[in-house]
Formats: sequence, structure tokens, C-alpha cells
Amino acid sequence: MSEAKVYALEQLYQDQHPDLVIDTIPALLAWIPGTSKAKRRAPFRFSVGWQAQSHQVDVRWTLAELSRRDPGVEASAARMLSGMTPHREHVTQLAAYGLAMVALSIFLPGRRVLQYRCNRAPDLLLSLDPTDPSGVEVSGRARGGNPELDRIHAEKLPGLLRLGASEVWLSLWCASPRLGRHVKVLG
Amino acid sequence: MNEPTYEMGLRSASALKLRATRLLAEGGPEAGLEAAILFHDAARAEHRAFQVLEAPSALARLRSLVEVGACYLAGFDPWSAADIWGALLQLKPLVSADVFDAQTADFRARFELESKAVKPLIRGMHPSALTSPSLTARRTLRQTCARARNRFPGASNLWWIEYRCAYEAQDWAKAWTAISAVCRLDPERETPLAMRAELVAHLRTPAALTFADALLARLPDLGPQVALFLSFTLAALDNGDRTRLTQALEAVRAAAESPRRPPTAEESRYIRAHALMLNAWLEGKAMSLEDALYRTGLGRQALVNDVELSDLARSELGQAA
Repeated sequence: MSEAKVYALEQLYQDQHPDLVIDTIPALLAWIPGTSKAKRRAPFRFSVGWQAQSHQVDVRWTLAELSRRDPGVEASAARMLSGMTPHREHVTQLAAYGLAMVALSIFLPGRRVLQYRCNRAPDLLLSLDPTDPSGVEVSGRARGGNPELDRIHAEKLPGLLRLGASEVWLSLWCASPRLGRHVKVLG
Repeated sequence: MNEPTYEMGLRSASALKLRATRLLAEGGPEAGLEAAILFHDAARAEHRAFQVLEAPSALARLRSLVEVGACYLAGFDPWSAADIWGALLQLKPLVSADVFDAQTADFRARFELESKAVKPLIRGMHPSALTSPSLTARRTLRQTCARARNRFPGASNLWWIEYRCAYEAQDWAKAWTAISAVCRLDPERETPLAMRAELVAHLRTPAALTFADALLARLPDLGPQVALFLSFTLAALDNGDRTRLTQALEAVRAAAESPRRPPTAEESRYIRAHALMLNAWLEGKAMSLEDALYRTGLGRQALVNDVELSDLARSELGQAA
């Protein structure tokens, strides 16, 4: 296993379009540490599968820096954590988009997400060609580890191969244990 | 293709969708409606971005429409999504069956799920009950509509029925909430905005008066119906010093000359009738409603008892949104 890569979330504003980053940050702050006290200590280490190898990715952040970009970030994360929404799945969804952009920025520096699509694959598009839906399909789970990520991978793959895209990535994330995989499935 | 414009349009739509998802993730009593409004804005932004493409292929049209439809579904509005599904079916002969199925599979699955959820919720909901003399019929409509609207806060048609119910019951605050939701979900439609302007005269809260003044400040941008109903409201708000009457006259003139579109024949009659009355009032002359109606081709309406011109206009122009 190679040396851990450290990624500060505030860097995401530089690596990707800020408009597409800002609303994923509160969800990352709420989702990554989870609710268990023992796990709420930075850095948050994910084992991420990339090109048939496992890489350690330490995610951290400076709240003051993030608040400079979005003054409401802390309150927003607190609201997400309080669980007062019937739409809790969206916290996981947004956090997974954020982590997919982190992985893209680390492993494919220079590649930028150009569009986000609503509830259809792939979620994050890397292409502007209106006939080529090249992009990253993203999914997140609170738990389940590698067996759950394997299951999602197998479930999503046939649909992704039928999209007529020239390049498709699958970016899967689990909060407990902290796992990720960012794999190319086409192109 | 103007690539920077196209890219910016898509990015703006993407940002709206992500912001809407964030609102849902945060929760709160208004999260559903506020998120729905953003998803509707995103649907329009997607559509506008697509308009930049020169001679788009059928596949590009298909993909763009699917995204617009997905925004409506995410925005709790299966009725607008149904319109998009109809448009997609019209494109079906232009692409191969495999391509159509692959591009529309996710949207179709979710649309079918939502359609199934709609039908039992609106069973027994007959908008004709709005004017029914039966209290039970009106109450059933109100309750059914509120239940459906809780599940689908992005459906402007449900908010519209809720507005009509509240208006008939003279519950002005509730009518304001409902008509405001319609206007925010569908800001390009004129009649709901006109009805919102009309409601200010009944409600007269600071927020409502601020809204009327904001409309007044952009008179040249308003459609004729909005300007006409704003003029009724301004006239009703006059406290005797004629300031509001003068503003009402400005508004009715703007209605007649709206650069957005020419007024329809029906609108023109009401515009002329109101202009006649306003001019007479401002000159200190007597002008009865009946006189104004007969002189502007609305003679049949003169036979109705105890109504204002705005009531007549509302029942003729404002019910079909």
C-alpha cells in the first residue's frame, strides 16, 4: 500500500468548479465523521481502490477556510446531522458526489466535472458533448463495506455499458468502514 | 454551438439541482417547496442551455428532454414530467429503440412510480367542486388537494386549486401562500402573477404591498393581464390622495401598450373600461361602473348586481390558469 494522500476539502474549490462543490461540502462534513464519538477525529482515512490498488486517502478540512467560501456551511452540516429531514438519503448522495470529486481531483488531476444530472446515470458528466454522456456514476452507503460496494458495482455496470458514452467511471463510497473505489468501467 | 454559453447554462442548472438537494438534505418545514422551486428553475435552465445548440440531433434533444423531465420529477411535479414524457414519445420514432430505451430507462421507471402514487391521491378530486353550493363537496376538494400537495409540493396545479379554494373561502392569507407558490414554481405564466397582484387589494399586508410596488417598478416588463390587475389593486388601495389612482392609470396604460404581447380582445375591453373610470375619477367626474361597461363592449356584464370591475375581469380572465 502506498503512502497516504492528504486532501484538504477547501482545495476542492480550486480543483473543481466552485458552483458544483459548494453544496456537497456540508454533506461531507456531516457524513464523513458519522455520529460515533470515537470516529469523529480528523484526518478521516479512506481506503480507496484505484487502478487495482488500494490507496490511503486522508480527508481533512479547516472550518474557517470552508466558512470563508460558504458562511452557512457549519449550520447546514448541523441541520443535516440533526436528522430532521424525511430526505436523509440526500446527505449520503451529496457526500458521495463530493468524495467522487475528491477522487477525481487526486487521481485524475485536471479533470473537472462539467454537469450534474438528476437521478440518472452517470450523475457527474465530464463531457459537454450533448450526445456523449461520459462521466462518473456515483453511489454512497452508510455501511456494508466491500460486499455492498461489490453489489452496487454489479448492479450498475450493465446500465452504464448501454449508455453510449465514450468514458464512464464508477465512484462508490462507504462511510463505515471508510472505503471508496474509483474505477473506469468503459473507455 | 456557443460553447461557453452552453457550458455556463448547464453549470447553472447543475448548481440549482445541487442546491435543491442540499435543501432536502437539511430538511425543515419548507424544504420540499423550496427544493421544488429550485428544481423547476433548473428544468428551465436546462431547456435554455439546450436552445443554444445549433441544429441539435434527435439524440441530443432526447437527452436534454430527459434531464428536464428528471428535474420535474425531483421537484415533486409528476404533471410537468408527464408533459415531458409525452414529448419524449414524440421523439421516439427518430432514434433507435435501443437508444430510446437506454436514454429514458431511469426517467421512465421513476415516472411510472410517481404516476402510480398520484392516482389514488387525487381520486375524487373534481375542481368543479370549487363553485359547488355543497359545503361538503368544497371541503372534500380542499382536503384532497392539501393531501396531494403535501406529497407533491412542486405541483403548481395543486397550489392553484388550493389558491382558488382559499379565495372562495375569503381566506386571503392562505390564498396568498398558495398563489405565491404557483408564481415561484412557474414564474413565466402570466395569469397566476396577475391573480397575485389582484390579491394584494384584499390582503394589504406589508409583504403584499411591497410586492405590488415591486411590480409597479417594472411596469414595462409586465404582460397586459398582470398590469391590468395591478391597476385594479392600486385603485383599490387609494386612500383619497389620488397617488395610487395615478399609479393605477399608469398601470392600465402599460397594460394597453405592453411590449410583451398585445392584449387579447377580452383584456382590451377591461383595460378600456378601467382606463375610462380612472380618467373620470382623476378629473373629478362621475362615472358609474355600468356606464364604463356599456361603453367598452361589456354591456352584458352591466346586468350583474353588486360587483366590482376587478371581480368581473377576474371571473372572465383569471380562472383558466
